[in-house]
Amino acid sequence: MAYAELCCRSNYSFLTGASHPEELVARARALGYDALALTDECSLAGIVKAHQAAKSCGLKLIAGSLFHLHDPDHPAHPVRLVLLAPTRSAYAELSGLITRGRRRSAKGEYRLSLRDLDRLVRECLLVWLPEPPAGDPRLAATASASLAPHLFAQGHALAAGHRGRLWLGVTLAHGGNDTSRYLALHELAVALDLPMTAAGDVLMHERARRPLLDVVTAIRLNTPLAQLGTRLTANAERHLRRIDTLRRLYPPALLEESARIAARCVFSLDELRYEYPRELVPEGMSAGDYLRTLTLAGMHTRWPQGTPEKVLRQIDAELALIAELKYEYYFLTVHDIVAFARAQGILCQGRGSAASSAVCYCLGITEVDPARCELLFERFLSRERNEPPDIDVDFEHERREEVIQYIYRKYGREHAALAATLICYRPRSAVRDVGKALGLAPEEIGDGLREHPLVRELLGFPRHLSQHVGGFVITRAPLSTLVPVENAAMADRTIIQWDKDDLEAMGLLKVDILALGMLTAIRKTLALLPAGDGRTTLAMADIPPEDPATYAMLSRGDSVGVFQVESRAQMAMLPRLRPRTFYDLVVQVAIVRPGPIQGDMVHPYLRRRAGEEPVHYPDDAVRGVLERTLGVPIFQEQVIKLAMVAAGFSGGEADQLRRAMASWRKSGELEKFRAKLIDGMLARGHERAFAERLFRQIEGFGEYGFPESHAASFALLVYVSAWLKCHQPAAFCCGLLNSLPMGFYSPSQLVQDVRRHGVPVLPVDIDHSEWDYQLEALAKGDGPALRIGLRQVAGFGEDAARRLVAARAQQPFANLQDLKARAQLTQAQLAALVAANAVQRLASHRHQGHWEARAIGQEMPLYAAQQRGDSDALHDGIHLPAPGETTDMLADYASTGLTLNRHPMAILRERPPFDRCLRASDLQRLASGRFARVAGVVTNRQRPGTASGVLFMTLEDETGNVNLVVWEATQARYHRAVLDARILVVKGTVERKDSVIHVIAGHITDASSAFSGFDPASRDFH
Amino acid sequence: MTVALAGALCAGNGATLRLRERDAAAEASLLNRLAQDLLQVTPQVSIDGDDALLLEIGGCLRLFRGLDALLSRVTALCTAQDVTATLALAHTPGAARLFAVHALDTRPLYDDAGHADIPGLRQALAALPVQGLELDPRTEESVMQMGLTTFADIEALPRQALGRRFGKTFTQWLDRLTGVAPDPRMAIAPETFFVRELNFLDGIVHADGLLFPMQRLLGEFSRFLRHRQLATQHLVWRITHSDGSTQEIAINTARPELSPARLLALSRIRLEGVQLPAPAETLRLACRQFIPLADSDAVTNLFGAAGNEDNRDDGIAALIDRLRARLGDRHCRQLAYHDGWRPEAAQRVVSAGAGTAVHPALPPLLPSHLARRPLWLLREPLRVLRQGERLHWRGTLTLLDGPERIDADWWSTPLARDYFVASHDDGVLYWVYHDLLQDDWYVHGVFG
Repeated sequence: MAYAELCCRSNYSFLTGASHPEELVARARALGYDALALTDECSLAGIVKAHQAAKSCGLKLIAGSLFHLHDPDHPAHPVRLVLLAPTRSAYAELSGLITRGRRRSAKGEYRLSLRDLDRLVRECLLVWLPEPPAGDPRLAATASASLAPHLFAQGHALAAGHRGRLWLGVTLAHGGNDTSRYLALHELAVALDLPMTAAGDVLMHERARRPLLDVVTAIRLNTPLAQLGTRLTANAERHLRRIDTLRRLYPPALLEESARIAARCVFSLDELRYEYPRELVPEGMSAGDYLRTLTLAGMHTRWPQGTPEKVLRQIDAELALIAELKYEYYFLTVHDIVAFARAQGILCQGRGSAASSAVCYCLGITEVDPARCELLFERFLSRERNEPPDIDVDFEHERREEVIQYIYRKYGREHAALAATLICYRPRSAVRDVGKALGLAPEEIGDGLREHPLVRELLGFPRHLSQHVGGFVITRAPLSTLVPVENAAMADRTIIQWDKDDLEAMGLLKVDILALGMLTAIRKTLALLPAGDGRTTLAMADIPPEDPATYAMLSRGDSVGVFQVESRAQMAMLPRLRPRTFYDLVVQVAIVRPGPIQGDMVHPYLRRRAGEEPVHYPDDAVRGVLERTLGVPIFQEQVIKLAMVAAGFSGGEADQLRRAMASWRKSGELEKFRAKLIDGMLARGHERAFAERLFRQIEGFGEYGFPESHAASFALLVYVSAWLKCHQPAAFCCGLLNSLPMGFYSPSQLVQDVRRHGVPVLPVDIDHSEWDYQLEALAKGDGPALRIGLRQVAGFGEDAARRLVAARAQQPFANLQDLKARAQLTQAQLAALVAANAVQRLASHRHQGHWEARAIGQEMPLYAAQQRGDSDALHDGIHLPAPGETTDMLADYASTGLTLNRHPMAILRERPPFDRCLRASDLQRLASGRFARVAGVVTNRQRPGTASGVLFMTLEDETGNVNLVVWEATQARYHRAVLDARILVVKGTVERKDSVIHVIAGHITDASSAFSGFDPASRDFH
Repeated sequence: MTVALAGALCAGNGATLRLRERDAAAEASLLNRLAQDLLQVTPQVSIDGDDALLLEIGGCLRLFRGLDALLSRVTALCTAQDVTATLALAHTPGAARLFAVHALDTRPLYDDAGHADIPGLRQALAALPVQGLELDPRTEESVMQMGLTTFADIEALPRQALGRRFGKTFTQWLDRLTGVAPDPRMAIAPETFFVRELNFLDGIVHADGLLFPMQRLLGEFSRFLRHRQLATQHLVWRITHSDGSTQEIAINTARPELSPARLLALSRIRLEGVQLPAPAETLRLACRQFIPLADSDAVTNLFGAAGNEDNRDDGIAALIDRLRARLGDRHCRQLAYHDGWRPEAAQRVVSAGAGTAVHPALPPLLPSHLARRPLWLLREPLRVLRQGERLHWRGTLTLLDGPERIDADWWSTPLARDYFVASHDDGVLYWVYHDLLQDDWYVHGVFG
C-alpha cells in the first residue's frame, strides 16, 4: 500500500521540529514511503538539505510549507494549511507567498491572510488541516458542521478559490477522540464536497526523539519542562510511522489519496536554473564578447609593454572554459561591482581561489600577477568541479556599505539579497538551554552537562537565520521565484532563506562582499603621502616592489601594524623565516597557521631553508609540485596536485579530497581517503613513510590550509603595508589609527611602536587636533610628527569635534567658557577634554581644569553676574595643586587609553620589586636557559587552540614587549593572577631561538595593586 | 568580579560556586523588626537607606545610666535578632553613618555621660577619603578629578565656590554632615497592635457566658479598625482561668474582615467546642496582623448593617469561614486543577479559601481533553485480567473508544498508557488503560 507524508516539519521550523531534514528523508525512505513533503512553517530554508539527502537515497521529495493564515471573518481561528508545489511555477508561487508573508513582518515572523492565498496561489496543492475548536467537547458527541460554523465558512472560502487542488487533511495520533473527530471531519468534507487525505503533522523522524521535541518546546516557551503541563504533546505519535501502523489507523482511501497527491507533484529542485541579470552587457554584444573586450583592455593596462606569452595562453584557456561553462555573466557582475568601487576610490581586492585567475587579474578583480606567480586555475574553475566559481572581494571596511547599497540600487531589492547564515546550537548555548528546560539551578548548568544525551542531540540544531557577512545573490528573475526572501535584523537588509552551502549545492552564484580593515588603513595612508606626477593621491601600484629595506625590516621581526604578520606567532616566525622576496611572504602567510603548525610543516621548512636539511623528491612529478616550497606541502593546491600526480586521484576525486579537508572536523570524511591516498602512492612506488607523513600533513591542514592564490593576495597587502611602515612610518601609523578598530594592536601599542621608530607624537590639543589623527610638520627638514586626534578622547564624539574645529577656525579659544560656548559643548564633553589634558593652554593642569570647567555648569541665576566675561571668576581665587606623575599617567590611560609621558613601568621601576626586574630590552643580552625576572602591564592573553593548553601572555614595559609562555601547570598554580591581573611580576627562564625570545613563566605575582584603579584594556584571545 | 570570573576561579580550585539571589524584601523586614525592637532604647529610631538604623540617644543616656550600658543594650538587641551590627557615634546623623560604614570606633571621643570631643570628631570626619563619603558617582568622580582626596580637602574650599560647582544640594549636604545645619530624621512609628482585656470578678463558669464580653471587645476592636482603616484575617482570644491556666482560640478568616457581626459569629462557632476547666477570670482579645483596607477587597458596607451579603463571593467566603471555624482549618479542603497529562495528578487538594482566592483555581478555558475524562477516578487503579482478546474485571469489559495515548513525564517517572472507554456487563462505562511499559491492564475511572 502506498503512502506519502504530506505534512512534516523539520528543525528548520525553529524550535518546533525535532529532526534534521536528512533524518526525516532517511527515515521516510526506510519506511518505504512513496514520497515525503517537507513543509516547514512559512519557510523553504531546509529544502536544499532535504533535496540532497533525497537524491542520494532515492526518495521523492516534495517542496511545501505549512501556514497559519489569518481569516478576517474569524480572527480567533486561523486557517491551518499546507501548500505543496507540484510544478516549477507552483514552486515560484510558494516561494513568492512566503516572501510576501515575511517581508511585511519583523524578522522571524510572518503575516498572511486568506486573501493573500487567493491572490497569489493558482497552482499549488492545498491540504487543509482543520481542527475542531479547543474547549468544545460537544463535537465529540455529535458531529455537526453547525457546531463549528467557522470551519464550514473557511472550508467554503478555500474551496471557492482552489477547488480541484484542495484536500481536507486528517491527522490521527491517538488523541482519544480520534473516531469522533474523524466523523466530524468526514461530515465537513462531505458538506463541502472535498476529498480527504491522511496527513501525519509530523514533528520528528522517530518516536525516540520525543524528549528532544519536548525540550525544544520548553526552550521556545521559555518554561521548564515540569511547568509546561498540557502544553507539551500528550504522546510521541507525531513521527514518521510505519505503513502497517497507518493502515490500522486510517481508512485505506485516505492513505491512497496521499499517494495520489504525491504523484501529481513532479517538481524537483534540480529544475531550478540560475540566470544572471542581463543589464550588464551593452546592446549588440554577447556576454562572451564583452568579457573578452574587457579582458583585452585590462591586459593592456596591466602589461603596457606587452603581455607575457605564458599569460596569454592562460587567458585564452580561461576564457574558453568560462565560455564552455557559461559563466561569463558571473565575471561581468563582479567586474561591474569592482569598477564601481574603484570609481569611488574605494580600495578593493579579490581573495581566495579567484586570485588564481588571469582573467580576474585583467578585469581588476584580483591583484595577483599571473606573470609573477604560479597559479592553478583548476583550483578556481574546472569542468570536473561541476560547481560555480566563488569570488570573494575585500573592500575597505568603512566603505563596504556603499558597495552594498550600490548593488541594491542597481539590481533592485527584488533581484539582490544577502545569503543567510544558519545560527546553530553550539555547546555553550545547548548546555544553557537544555539545563533551563530541565529546571536545573544556575550553578548546576555547566560544562558537566556537555555529555548529556539531550545536549549532544541539540548540538547543531538550527536556532534562527541571520545575515551572511557579505554573500550576495543577484538574479535576473525576481529572487523570490527561486528562494524565499525575508527581513534580516538590520534595517533595510533582506536575506534569502538559504545559506552558502545551499547556494553551492543549488548552483546559484554568489559574490562575497567582504570588509577588510587594512584596505581602509592603506588608502588613508596613501592619502597622506605626496603623489607627485600631478596626481592627487598615490596608488598601491606605485609602491616599488621588492624593496630590500622592507624585507630587512620584516626579517628583524619589526612588524607591528603590518597586515597578517603582526601577531605574536607571526612576529616570532619572521626572524626565522627571513623573507627576502615576495614569494617568501606568500609562504609566511600560509605557513604560520594552526593547520600547518599541527601538520608539522613549519619546522621541516625552516630547517631546509636554513640549509640544515637536504631536500629529496621521490620523483619529478612530486618535485614539480613541491619544489617551490622546499618539498613541504604548504598550500591546498599542492595537496590536490600531489593527490593527482602521486596517488593517481582524478581531478574530481582530488577536489572531493579538498572538500573533505575543509570540513573534516565536522564530518570525518577524511578517513575514507586515507587508504586511497596511501595505496595510490604505494602503487606508484612511493615509500610508505612518505605517504603516511603526507596524510598526516593533510589532516593537520584541516580547514586551515590556504590556497596559494589566496596567500598571494594577502601577501600583496603584507608587502604594501610593510613598505609603508618602513618608509613612511608616521603616515602609516596615522592611517592605521584612523581605521581602528582593526588589527592586532591597541592605539597605545601602535603609538609606542611608532615612537620607538623615532616618530614624535604630539598630545591631543584643542588648538591643533582634528577628529582624526594627523601628520604635523615640525621643524623644516625633519620628518612629520603624529598628532593624536580628538577621536582618542573618551566621551568626545565626532559631532563635537566638528564644532570645535569650526569654532577655533574663527578665533582661538580665550578660556574654558569660551570653548564651551562657541563649540557648543555639553558639560560632559568639556569635562572629557579636560580629562584628556587637551586644554593645557587654558587651564594649566587637570585639577585646575576640572575645577574651572565645573564652574561653568548650568545657568545659575545666583552666579549669573559672575559668568559674564571675566575669566578670572572661573577659578574663584583657588589654584589647586597639580597632579603627580602617577595620577597624570592614570588619567591619561583613563581618558585616551594611552600616555605620552613615562610608561607606568618606568614609574614603577624606581621601587621594589620592580627595581630588580629586567626590562624587555635587557632580555636581548641573555642566552637560552638563563633565569630572568620581568615585570610589565598585561596587554595580551592568547590561548591558541593547537598547543596543549598553553597560554601566551604579553607584558609591556617602557622598552617593548616580553612574550610569556605559561604552561598549564603554572596556570593552575597562579590561576587568579593569570586570569585577572593587570600588572605582573614573573620569574622564569629565557628561551631563545635566533633573535626570538620567550620567557617560560615559573612564578607569577599579581602586582596590579601598585596602581589602584589602573585598568588598561587587555586583548584576550581564545 | 563577574560571575564568570568567580566560576572560573572556583573551577580552578575545585570548589563549587553557589549563586543566591538577594532577597530585598527579607532584608527590609529584618531591618524593620530590629528598628521596632530598638524602640526600647530610644523613641527616635529612623531607618537610613536599606542597611542602617539611626538612633538619637542624647535624651536617653540618663535612663540607661551611661553610654556603655546603652551601647551594650543595643548590641544585645541586635544579637537577639541574629544581626551583626557595626556601631558608631557622632555629632550628626550623616557623620554617624559614615563612621559606621568605615567601622571607625568613635567611642573614645565621648565620655560616659555623653559629652563629645567635637574637634576629635571633626578630625575623624576630615580624614575620610572622598570615595568613602557616599557621594553620587558623578559628583564623586568630579571631586576626585580635581585632585581632592579627603573630606578635609573639600572643607578647605570656599563654600560658595563649591556651591557654584556642585549645586545647593551639595552644600546643604555639607552643612548637614558637619552640623552647621540641622538634619532631622523621621522616626519610625511603633507598630500597631490591639490588646484589650476584660476581667470578671465572679468568674464565668460556662463558655457561652463569654459571648457577651466577646461582643463588647469586638465592638471596641471594630472601632479601632475603622479609625485606622484597617482589617484583619487573624485574631486570638485568650481565656485565663481561675486556676491560672490559659487557653487560646485563634480565629482565621478567608478574607480581610472588620465586621464585628461576622467576627462574633465565627467566635461563637469556635466557642461551641470550648471547655472551661475552671471559671474564666479574664478574656483578652489580641490582634497584631493588619491589612490596610485600601489593599484588601474586604466588603466595606458604608452603612454597616448586618446581613447585607449581596456579593456571592462574599457569601462563599463567609461559608468557608464558618465551616473552618466549626470543623477546624485542617478539615476544610477544596480541589484545584493542576495542568498535566498524568490523569491522577490533574487535581490537587488545597486548603479551603487558601490565600485570598475563594474559587477553586480553574483556568478560564478548560483544555478540551478534560471533556473526555471520567467523573470519578479510582484512588488506586485496579488490575484487569487479560485472556487473549478479552478483559475480565468482575465480569467482562468491552473496549468501545480509544486509544487515547498518554506518554509523558519521561524526565521523572515515565508514564505510557493507552486509555480506552470500556463498557461493562452491567452497563456501566469505565475508563480503562493498558500500561504500555508493563503490559498490564487497569481500570482507572468511572463515567457518569
